[in-house]
Formats: sequence, structure tokens, C-alpha cells
Amino acid sequence: MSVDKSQISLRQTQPNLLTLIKSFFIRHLQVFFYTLGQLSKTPFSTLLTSASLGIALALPAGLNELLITVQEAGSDFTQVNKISLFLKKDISSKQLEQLQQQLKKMPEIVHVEHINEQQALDEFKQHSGFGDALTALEDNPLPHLLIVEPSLSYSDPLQVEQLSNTLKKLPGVDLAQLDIKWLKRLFSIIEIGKTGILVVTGLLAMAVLLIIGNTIRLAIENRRSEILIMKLIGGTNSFICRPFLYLGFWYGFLGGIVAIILVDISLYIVSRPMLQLRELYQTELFNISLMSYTHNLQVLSSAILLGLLGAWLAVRWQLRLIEPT
Amino acid sequence: MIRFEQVFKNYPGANKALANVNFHVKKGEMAFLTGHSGAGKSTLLKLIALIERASSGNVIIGEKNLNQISRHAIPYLRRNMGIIFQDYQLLHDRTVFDNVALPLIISGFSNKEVSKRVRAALDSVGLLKYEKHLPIRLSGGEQQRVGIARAVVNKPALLLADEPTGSLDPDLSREIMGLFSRFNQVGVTVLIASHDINLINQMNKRVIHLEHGKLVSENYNANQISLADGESE
Repeated sequence: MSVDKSQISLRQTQPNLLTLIKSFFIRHLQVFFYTLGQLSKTPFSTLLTSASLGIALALPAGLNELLITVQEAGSDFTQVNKISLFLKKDISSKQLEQLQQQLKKMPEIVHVEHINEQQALDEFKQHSGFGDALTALEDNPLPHLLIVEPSLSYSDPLQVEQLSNTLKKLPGVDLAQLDIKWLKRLFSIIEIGKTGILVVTGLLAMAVLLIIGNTIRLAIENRRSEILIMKLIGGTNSFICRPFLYLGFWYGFLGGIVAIILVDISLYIVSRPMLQLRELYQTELFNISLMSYTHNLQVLSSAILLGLLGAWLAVRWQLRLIEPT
Repeated sequence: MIRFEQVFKNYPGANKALANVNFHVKKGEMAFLTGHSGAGKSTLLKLIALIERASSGNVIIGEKNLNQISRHAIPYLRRNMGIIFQDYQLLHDRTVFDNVALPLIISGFSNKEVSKRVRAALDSVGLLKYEKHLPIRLSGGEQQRVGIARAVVNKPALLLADEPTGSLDPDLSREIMGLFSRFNQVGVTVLIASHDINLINQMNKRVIHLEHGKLVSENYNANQISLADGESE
């Protein structure tokens, strides 16, 4: 055995812990910029990859923005959603008073408006165009009408419908009318849209993973001999992985930026005909704006996460296959 | 430093690459590994560098039995040995300096320490003036010296070389061998696989001779010319 029984590692003066930690961060920073430099050396292929990633990311992000707009419009409609209570013809004014008081006490209701039979008739004459014909009637055929406005926390179509069913059973109420069928349809369409976007997002996320994974796989293959040398002189897997993970980060980042630009351009294009629509309907709804700060950040961070994940999968898969022989 | 105990290595569907190999290279010793191609020289070096594992038997490096080294510990073990290849294995898109710096960067040395050590290593192989060159601009002998500088920059206790002079002419080969001798004189254990008998005979070192995977002789050649220290300088 060796004369001084020393282990081989004793010969080597290892860097101390502080140096190791400091070097670790410096090396990370170096790889961070080194990989950016690598990408800028091949601007065309970097642009192509980033653009394909951007398009794949822009599609779900853009659809989501549109869905949000429709959803906001839908919830605005629920807020103006009211229940019309047609009262029985023979209701006394005392009963009417009691009913109004009862409704006002219910927590689900914020406002009750009374339209008496005469007002109803006047309004009908005005709007229906039957004005003269109606004067020929001896009796006013219209009942008293109470317009009930549900409070905000009961504005969900299902809850409004329940409320309407309850009100229908109150004494003195002949008919409760609630036109929310179209609203329910809208909401179920929105639900379908949400699910659809989820599916599309899932598929496109896989596409992004595949694009990045394959790009990284090619990058690894191009550096095969370098990786072999690194392994032979004592490079750990994490050291060898590092530049490829940063490459994935950069692809994700660039793809995310492209996606944000694409979505904002598309939203701008769509917002112009929407503006016309809003003027025609004199509504504040369908207000399309560029993506919010948080949404931008969400798109960018999910792009970066996908980039890192794609790179990690590729590196994990590929590095096992590259061993010195 | 290097101890082989009843080492066998089989490759599936082939003859035994190594059969019952026993030898011991002491710390600070310089030895040659020789034999025809296919005799098992490369396999033996691969077992030491843990590129391959023995089918049976013990390979002990320093005081570590390589059978007990896990896959994750391999990089750390390799940092304690410098490996030199016949085809140099340099990175052609990095400067000479960066090539030599690689083992230090992997080990996590600071920039200051890296440049100090790289310059010292390049100086010891006489290539300091080429530090900013790309390897491709250097001759074969110079590239191999860059390879040696990279192998010694980490101050390993053990140098392994696989046919280091295989692509060099006799003069350059002697020069490279002179370098190995000098590292050996400062205490580094050196094991060189080579089939260049003439060159080996000039070195007056122990020779481990393999044939068909078997160790056939271990000897010091008596009638050798000792290589003078000054010859390579």
C-alpha cells in the first residue's frame, strides 16, 4: 500500500465551501449569459423556434382573453336580471302592501318596484302601438306588477330561478316570469368554451414541450463529444445539464414574449369591430383591452416553466445515452 | 495506488477482455501497460476510470474499492485522476486556456484560482504563450500537451494515459514521455498504456505486459537508457 497511507483526495486542495458557493452562483450567471450568446449566434433558428413556441402559446392565451370578455358580459347581464311578478287580479291593496313588505325583508332581494295596473296599461299603450284599440276596453286587463331585483350574491342563474320558484308560491302572486333561458345557454356555452380552451391548452402545452424537448435534444446531440469529455474529467450530471436547462429557459422566455406580442396584436385587431358593436348596442360590455399585467406574467411564466420542463425531460432522456465507452 | 485483485472483465458475446489480472502500482510509481491491440490495455484503463466495471474481482484506487463507488460518486472520483487520450479530446470551440480550465470550473474553483492554476499548468507544458489560441491552430504534439495540462491542472494523484503518443512522431513522443516523467518525479503516480516498445524501453520503468487479457509479465527492462531530466526542457 502507499507509503503515507494518504488517500488520493488528500493530495488535491479542494476549494473551500465559501468559494464553492460563490463559484456556484458565478458559474450559473456565466451559463445564463453563455447560453444567450449561443442562441444569438444562430439568430434565424432561434427566431424560428421562438416563433413556433409563441404561436403555440398565443392560441390558448388569446382564446382565454376572449372567453374572459364574454364571461364578463354574461355576468353583467345577470346583474340586471330581474323577476317580474304578475299579481292576481283580485288582490286587495292591503294584501299588496303586505306582499311588498314581505319581499323587501327577504335577504335575496335588494329592490322591489311596484308598477300599478294603470301605469302598466299606459306603458303598454305607448310601446305596443295598440293605443287606440286599448281605449275601447272597458276594464283594464292588466294586473299589478312587482319587479324584483335579486341581490348580487343571488345573481347566479340557478339561484335566480330558485328564487323565482319561491316567489311564485307566495299568496297573491299569479305568475313569476324570468327570462333566463338564454342566460343559462350563454353560461353553458361559456362552460363548453372553458373546457375547450383547457383541452386546447393541454394539447398546445404538449406541443411546446415537444418543440423545446426536440430542440434541446438536437443541441445535446451537437455537443455529444463535449459532454463525453466533461464526463471523463469529472463533470457531474447537474453540471453538464445546466447549459441545456438554461437553453430551455431562454426558449421558453422568448416564446412567451412572442406569444404576448401575438395575443396583444390580435386583441387590438379584434377590439376595433368590437368597438363598433358597442356603439351600435350602446353598451359598455364587450370591452376588449390588451392583456393585463398579471396575464402577461402568467403567459411568460408558464412559457418559461414549459421551457425548463421540456429541456429537463430531453436532458434526462438524452444524457443517459451519452456515456464514455 | 492502483491495485487489481483477480479482476475479470467479460463483454457479452466476446472472449474475456481481462482474465484474472493481479498487479499493484505503488504511489508515486510510473508504469507502462503494454501489449498488442486487443490485449486488454484500454479495458484495464477503463476499469480504473470507471468507464467500465469489472465483472468480478477488486479494483482499488487509493484506498477506495471501485466496486463500492456508486454511479453518482463517479465524477468526484474522476476529478482525482487526470486522463490523457490518444486523440487529445479537446473542445475545439474553446481556447487553450478554457480547455485547461474546465476541470477547475467543474470542481468549483474561483476565477482567480482558476487562472492562476491554468497558467501554472500551461507553463509546465511550455504552452503559456498559446493560452488564447484555439486548439486547432496547434500542432499534434502541442495539442497533446494541452491535454496533459488539462489532466494535471487539478493536481491529481494519478495520471492515466491511453496511447498518448499514438499519433505523434518519435521526437514528439519522447518529449511527451519526458513530461510524464517530470510529473512522476514530483510524486504523481503515472500509468501509460502504449504499444511503442522502443519508447518504453528508453524509459527504464516498470512494464506490465498483457496478452489476450492476461498479465504475462511484469518487469523492469535492465538495458534501458535513462531519460535525463534536461532532455525535455
